[in-house]
Amino acid sequence: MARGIGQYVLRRAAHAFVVVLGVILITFIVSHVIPGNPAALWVGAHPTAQQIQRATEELGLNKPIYVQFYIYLTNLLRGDLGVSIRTHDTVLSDVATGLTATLELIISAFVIAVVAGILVGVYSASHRDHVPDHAGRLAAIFGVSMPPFWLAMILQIIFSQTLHVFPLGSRMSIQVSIMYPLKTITGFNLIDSMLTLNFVAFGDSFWHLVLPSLALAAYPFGLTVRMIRTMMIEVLQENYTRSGLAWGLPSRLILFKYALKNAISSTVIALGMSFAYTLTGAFLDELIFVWPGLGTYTALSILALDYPAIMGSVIVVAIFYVIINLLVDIFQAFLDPRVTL
Amino acid sequence: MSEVKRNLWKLVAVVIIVIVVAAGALGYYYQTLQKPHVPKIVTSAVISEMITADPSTEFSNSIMMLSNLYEPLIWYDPSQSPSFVPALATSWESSDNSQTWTFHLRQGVKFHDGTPFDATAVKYSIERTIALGQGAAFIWSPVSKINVLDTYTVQFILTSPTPLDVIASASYAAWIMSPNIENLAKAAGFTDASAWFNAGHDAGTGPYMLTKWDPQNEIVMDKFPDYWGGWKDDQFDKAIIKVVRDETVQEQMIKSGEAQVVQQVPFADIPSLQGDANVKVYTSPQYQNLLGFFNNKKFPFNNTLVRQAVSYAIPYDQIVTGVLHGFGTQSIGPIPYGMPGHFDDLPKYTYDLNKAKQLLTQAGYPNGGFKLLLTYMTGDTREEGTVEMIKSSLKDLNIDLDIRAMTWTEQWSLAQGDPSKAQDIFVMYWWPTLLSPYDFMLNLFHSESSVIFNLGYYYHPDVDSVIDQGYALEGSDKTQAFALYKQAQKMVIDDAAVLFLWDLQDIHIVRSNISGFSYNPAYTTVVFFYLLHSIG
Repeated sequence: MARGIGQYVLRRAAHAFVVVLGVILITFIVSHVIPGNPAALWVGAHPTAQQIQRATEELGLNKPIYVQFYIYLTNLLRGDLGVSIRTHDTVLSDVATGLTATLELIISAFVIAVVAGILVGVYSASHRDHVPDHAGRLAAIFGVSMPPFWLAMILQIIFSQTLHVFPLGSRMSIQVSIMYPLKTITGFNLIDSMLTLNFVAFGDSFWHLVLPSLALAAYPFGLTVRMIRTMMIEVLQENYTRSGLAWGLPSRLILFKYALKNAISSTVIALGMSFAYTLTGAFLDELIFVWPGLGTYTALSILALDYPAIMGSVIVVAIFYVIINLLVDIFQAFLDPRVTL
Repeated sequence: MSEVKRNLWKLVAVVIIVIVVAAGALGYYYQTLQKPHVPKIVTSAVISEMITADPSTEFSNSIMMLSNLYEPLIWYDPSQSPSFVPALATSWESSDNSQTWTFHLRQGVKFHDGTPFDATAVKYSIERTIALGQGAAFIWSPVSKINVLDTYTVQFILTSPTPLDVIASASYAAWIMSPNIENLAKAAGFTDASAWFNAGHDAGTGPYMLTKWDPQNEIVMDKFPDYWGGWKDDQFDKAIIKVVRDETVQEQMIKSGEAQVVQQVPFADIPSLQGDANVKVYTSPQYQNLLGFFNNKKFPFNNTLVRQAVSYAIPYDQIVTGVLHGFGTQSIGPIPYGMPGHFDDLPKYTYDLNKAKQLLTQAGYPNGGFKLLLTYMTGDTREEGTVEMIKSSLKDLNIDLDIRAMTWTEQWSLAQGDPSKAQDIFVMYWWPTLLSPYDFMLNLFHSESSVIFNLGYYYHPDVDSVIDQGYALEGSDKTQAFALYKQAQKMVIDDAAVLFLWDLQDIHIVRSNISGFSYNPAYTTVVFFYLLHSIG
């Protein structure tokens, strides 16, 4: 199987290259066709005509669009994503900082969602049509249907405004970031603080991560519960489950090993896609919790028609989609020997 | 999975959970623990991010930070009389029909890098700004030569009569920086001073020094111990500008005390904040207004009578109470309320449908029947509320107004194209770079060779000449200059060149345990942290 996987990954990588190239082309054209004047944005609020003219030349906006695309592509191949017109910073560093902040948030949200979702889903399925099941289904519906920004605000009002348990927002509190400054190594606060043995910063970052992750976890939690429950109910009606029970296997073993393994693969696919979507889709959660992530960056870039930044974000998200698709497929093959790559 | 392996996994899981929880608890413990040497910190939440940090070229939101790091020669403070107050210059005079200006400089001032402040530094700073020619550098265009007369005296020779006091107190491009910056930049491995600035360094004389530059999220400034103004114990050791892009989050932060100053909360919630003993709401005039440019080059607004008719059909009072919740006033002419050059006795259009219909009839369109396009900035709830009320009101004149939200660049590029295909009404804010009526009159109503900010294409040579004469006199004869500005304003009002909608009021909400807050509308959105003192 090892060789099979190697070949498969290669084939998929070639595939991915074409997909990303297509995404780049389409995004480039769309962001250049929309009327707008990036040069004016570059020079500031109240520019003079000469300044705009100069910026147009500096940014190469006076060249034909195919020349601009060629320049963009050759720079991209050297790993240069250009300079953001809005922030005047390199897109690469902007996207990198945004991405790590967002990944820290999404990963913790999905860990919460998957662990809680599987437990509730399995429990629901095994207590079908009884009180725990109703409660689980209600929670799931609540999770998928509550708008995350609304949930975010409710969490803020309850846990920070009223109970004062968690902070309102940001990745770290100002006091801690000044008195115990965090050295950036990976960009993930939890990892960096552990590596530098800065426990105060770790605790503070962890504390700041709770509410935004909870708000963001609601949707994938609901999704997981519903899918796991449905699939489990199906599996639990299968003959082999009944046989297992008849043979006297412990019900926990049946539920979590034999039944769950069969029920989980479609959930993984759905979660994988939802994960990639959340990279930029967490915008409102980030806005409310003052989280400096990729979603906020992308949204502001789109509003400003900052095309190098839009391109950069789109490329990153496209690459993530491709990687996650690949991982999901490999994971499925790992779970289910009938699936060949 | 073997039993051993499974137990191993369980062990790992338990260890991870224990570490995470312990570290969390430890952090929380440290955070809540009061330490003896906690610095005094003040945090101000702002709605928009900063972009660049070069004091010569920056022409945007970093003014919030630069005003605390740098000082100009003169501050402009409308609450004082005269309004030009000494900063790095202690006195100044003009001669030769305001074509020569001499500034006497403050002694004993140091830049943050230790370089002493003197006339050479002034010459260096302004010449650097002019040479770079970016941002608001154009304000110095009348300067032909800067002479260092002695260590603390500097002289500006101008090509034409110009109010240099207005320019020297501008909120952009007028900052004085250390002449040592190129060396500092080289020593730190940067190609030039601009790159050094934009990597988060500063070299001003101001009360604070830049220590953390994360322009999209947070700026940290430390007090400059050698500041010439001196320090008191109840002033703040650290000042933080935190970017919080949501109004309701700003409101939560000021309520909970996570921020000590906020700039933007939903209007509707201000009355409840006014009743909150923990915070204080400060309101003051703000030199910013909302205008609706009529397309003067396109039917039907190429007809003065139609422009006047529409100007009479706007429910100004309803907009001010309904959209601004009273935190603003109907504009009287183009210069905002509170700013020099604003005259309350200039004529204004009031809501009068009969008059509007009468004017339309006079213009030859008694039944209206126009289909028009208005564009405004997407995401701006105040503009949105205003234009919706305009739309519903124009229905009474049988004018069908299509209101379209656009991003600023889309809206602008539509106006910069062919005027006959451009929007009929372009809604936008204006605020000045130079504290002079000239800034409004020149940008919005003076003829221009390519379309920049005269977005209604209002080109009238007689108006141009009154504006230009006013500016030429402003340095030597302010009274006469302002009379000319008033005359120019009356001309554009009578012509209904644009829709004069409303002047915005500034609102800042400050925690009650902070004293000394005062808003200076000449420096839009700036919180001067040096003025703040903590109580108790």
